[in-house]
Amino acid sequence: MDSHVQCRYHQCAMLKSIITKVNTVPSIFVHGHTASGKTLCIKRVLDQQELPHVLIHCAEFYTQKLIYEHILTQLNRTNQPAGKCEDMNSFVRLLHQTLKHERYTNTTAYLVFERAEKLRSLPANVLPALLRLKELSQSQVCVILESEIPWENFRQFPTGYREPITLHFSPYSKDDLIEILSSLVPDDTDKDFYTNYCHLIVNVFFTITRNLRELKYLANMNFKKYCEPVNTGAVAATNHRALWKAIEPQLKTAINSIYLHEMSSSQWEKVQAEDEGAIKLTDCNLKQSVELPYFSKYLLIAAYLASYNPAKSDRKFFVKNCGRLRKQTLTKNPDKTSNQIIGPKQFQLDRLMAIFYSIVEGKVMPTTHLYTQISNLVSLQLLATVSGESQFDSPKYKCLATLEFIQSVSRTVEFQILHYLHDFN
Amino acid sequence: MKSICFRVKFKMVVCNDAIAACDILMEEMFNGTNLDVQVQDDIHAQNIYDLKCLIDKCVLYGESNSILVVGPRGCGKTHVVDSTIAKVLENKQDDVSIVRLNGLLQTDDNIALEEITRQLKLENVVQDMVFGSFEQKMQFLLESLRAGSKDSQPIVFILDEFDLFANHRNQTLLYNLFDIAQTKQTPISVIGVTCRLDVTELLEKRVKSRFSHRYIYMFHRLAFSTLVDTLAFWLKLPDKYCKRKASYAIQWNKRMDTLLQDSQIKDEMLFRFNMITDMHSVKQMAAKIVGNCRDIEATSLPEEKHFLEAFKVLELDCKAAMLQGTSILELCLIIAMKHLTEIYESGEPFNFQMVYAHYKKFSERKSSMKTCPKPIAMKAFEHLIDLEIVKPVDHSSALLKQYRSMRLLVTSKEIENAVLHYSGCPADVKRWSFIDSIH
Repeated sequence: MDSHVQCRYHQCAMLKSIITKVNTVPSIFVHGHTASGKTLCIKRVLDQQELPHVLIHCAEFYTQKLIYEHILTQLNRTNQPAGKCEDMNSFVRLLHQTLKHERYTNTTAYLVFERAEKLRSLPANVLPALLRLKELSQSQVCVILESEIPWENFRQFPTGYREPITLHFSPYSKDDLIEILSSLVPDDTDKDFYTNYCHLIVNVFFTITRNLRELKYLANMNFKKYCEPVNTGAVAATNHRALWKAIEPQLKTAINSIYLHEMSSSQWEKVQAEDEGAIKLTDCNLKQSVELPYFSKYLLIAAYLASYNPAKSDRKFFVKNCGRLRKQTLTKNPDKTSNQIIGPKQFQLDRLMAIFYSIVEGKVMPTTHLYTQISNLVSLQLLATVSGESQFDSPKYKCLATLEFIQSVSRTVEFQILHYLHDFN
Repeated sequence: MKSICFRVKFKMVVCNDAIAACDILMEEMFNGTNLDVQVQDDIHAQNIYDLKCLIDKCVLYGESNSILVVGPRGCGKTHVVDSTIAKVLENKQDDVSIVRLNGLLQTDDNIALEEITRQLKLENVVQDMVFGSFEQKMQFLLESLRAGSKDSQPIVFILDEFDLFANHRNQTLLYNLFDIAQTKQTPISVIGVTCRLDVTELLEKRVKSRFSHRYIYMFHRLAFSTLVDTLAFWLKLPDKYCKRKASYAIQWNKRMDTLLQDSQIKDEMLFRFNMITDMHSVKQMAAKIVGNCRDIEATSLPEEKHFLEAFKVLELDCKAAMLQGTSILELCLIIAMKHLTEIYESGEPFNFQMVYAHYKKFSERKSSMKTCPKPIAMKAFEHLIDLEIVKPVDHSSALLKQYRSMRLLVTSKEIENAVLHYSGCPADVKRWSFIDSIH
């Protein structure tokens, strides 16, 4: 069986020296960035030696009960739950019983905890007890913890830890990434052609992300487009320069949606198929398109203005026919940091309504419907109530909408929001 | 790949002497405990003697008592208790019951009571009776213990991580154990093992007054020569192996001896020794060295570099290594945060919006890089939060996430180091990181 994991030879060798059939290190801590091959290497080494092991993803098994029962069921190789096991004490006892089975004589069982940093949120005894599980259960068992957080950050409780053997997975270098990506060449593609493509992908996106998973996703997404000129015969497969010229705009737009995965891959392909892909891209942005009633929109805009404008400047923006006033403009203090940086300020309902009446078109009666819309906005989490429950008559709010969002809302009612913002005038 | 060993149907066929040697050493290290016992018994002979006297009094003459073994982690407390118990059991196997509890396992009195019942093998008795509540269990156990007289079978309670038992509600278990130890009932001796010097302060007044206030204090007694000896013991092949592969094993052991005498390695060891507190770390050191030796070619021997590499790995600063693995964008954000922290010397927190504004100013004016859009920078920032490089000051989630106040958890020195060693870091980013404040 081939145990070779690309670019991880040294780490695998180290793992192999401590993960063996009979000798047990009580605990191992494996540390490295996401997608740096931690789980892969551990699994390879364990599988290669056919050692019994249980993988526990701590985001999936998030309580003591789930973790213990999962481990016991897996080790017992039954489908039925192994019975109630809610605390460390019964877990250790049952584990000892399980490992007495002849299947486990002279064999070490390995418990691999992925995202081990989540274990810290469990009761304080769990992590220290796991680290000395071998000693406590008096059986051949080894606990492997995987995390992207260094070991120092685990030592937050006063209860001491038996220091595990730590193993660091260094991040992949640029060359490593290219090597790994180009080894995933699709079946019907020329290897050199694909390697060249991977060079391109890594060089474009490397400054933004080093996450292998993300790069893999990006490589898959854009490959069809890259092949297009070759398939149509417009460009020769060896003409790298022309191919780069063809794909460049496509990748430039992809940079703007790295990590976000705003659309599924099928949608992405659809966008690619159309020529005006770049224009479509902004329309697809679901977050910016929330349908609100007409008055709600104005209320939201008013709330935004109240949150981000100082109360003093209201006079400047909202008092009508103030030609004389405008001349003695409010002197803006250049040292003051703008509200766009500090965040929204709270405001009173009265101020919100005042601004609302001055910006809304037509005459609006202050009915209960208007006020229900405010509480609607609160439940949509576009506004937040700041004052306590006790203040009925003058509630205070904060606006939670972002500038981008409010701009798109005001575009729909043709309101020039930037003209009314203190920071932009 | 030359140095891969193949396993065929559970039987190990090793084609490489060096790997075989390493495997044996690792096995000795973590399964054979002979050295531990030898060394530690010698060091703690007096303590073991004292403790044995006390338990003997309980076992032979029915005198109840209680004692605390206090000492820093890894100094051999548990070992002292274990070997004392082993000595007591040697000749009086049937005359004494041992109950072992651990504060990490029995997290409340209810669980602890169940465990005591189990270890005293009273389950059969319990099965016939229906126990609903904690009180009933307690009552049953107390009655069982009180029923005895001076001549009943003595019980030794060992409470590991004793300080954790003090956190239990009302300290009921401790109160009752100490109470029985004070009266002429079933002879029991309570041995608490803890690393906290202030452990008696944790006890309630009524519990404290029932404790006998006997202590055994233990300290680290690790000399540099012991360290070297221990290391040598774990790095040299044991005799049973020497018989099979005699010539290679002798060579190996000889090489290890000379390497341990090497001046550079000795210096390194002395440096590490000043940071070492217990046997576990020595063992870890040996494990790292042996692990490094695995990539030796077939029949050659370990060299100096294997030692030095192991020392280097042990010194590895995980935080620095983590900073090396961030992308350029993340690094830029970290530098921006560093600048913000330096401006507000009082340590005022910052928010994402400030960081992004600062980053944008840099990348638009002074850098050749394209400015990254805000949502992506936000994602990168969230990744940094996951890595615990930055931390939210408060946990209120009501506010928008870009305005949550944050604090940086790495020092500017660490960041400067990371930037210096970052491979392929653009020159303008490097220059930017060393500017003192915002310009």
